[in-house]
Amino acid sequence: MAAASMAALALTAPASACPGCALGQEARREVWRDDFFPHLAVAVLPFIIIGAICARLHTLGRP
Amino acid sequence: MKETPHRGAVVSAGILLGAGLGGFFDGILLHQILQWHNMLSSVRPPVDLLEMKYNMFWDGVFHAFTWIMVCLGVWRLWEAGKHSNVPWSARTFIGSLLLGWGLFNVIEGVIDHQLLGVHHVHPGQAELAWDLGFIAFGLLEIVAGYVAIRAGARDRTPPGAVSHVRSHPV
Repeated sequence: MAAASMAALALTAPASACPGCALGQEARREVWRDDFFPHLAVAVLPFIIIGAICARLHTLGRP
Repeated sequence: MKETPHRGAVVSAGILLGAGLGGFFDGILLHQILQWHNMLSSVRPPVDLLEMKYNMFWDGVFHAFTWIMVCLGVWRLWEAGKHSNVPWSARTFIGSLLLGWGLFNVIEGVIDHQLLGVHHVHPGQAELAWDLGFIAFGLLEIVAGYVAIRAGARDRTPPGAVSHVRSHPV
């Protein structure tokens, strides 16, 4: 069982951490091809809202 | 003339830090250690290595924004410490951290989990219960943070001041 796990790790490790391999390049192409800006907006939106709340609360007690 | 205490400086810094650290907690525990979900795991389920790498990119983008929030929070806290009219209140600061984390959980939970459905806390059975529990936890943090900030309203210790400690005979 341990040997099988190590073998599986050995197979996937170079494939998952490979800057120049075909799979990595395909993943990057998918990122840019598949709704990049809408997904970016989804990621940043909560932080923009929190930032706006912060800016409002920063005036608390300010003379 | 007595200066009006400007608590908002600590509150805003604490919220930024709390939101950023709360985002890191979510990303590290739920995305990476437990691997319950990724940023877009309901849109592109990580069923093979290509999809995992795709989701890892967007998890990285998410972490980039949480890192920026922490940096902004450190900067605002440092700025707040320069002013004598900013009360250096532990209750206000800790309350603000909780408030920030709670706001992150509620806002991200409502937008990403409920409205857009890009991912869920724990997909599968009882998915909605997990999502609502996540939001409920955030609301609890917001209430706790608000209570702590209100409790710290009368704290007046200025930045850099030494707190009064009982001296013990040698």
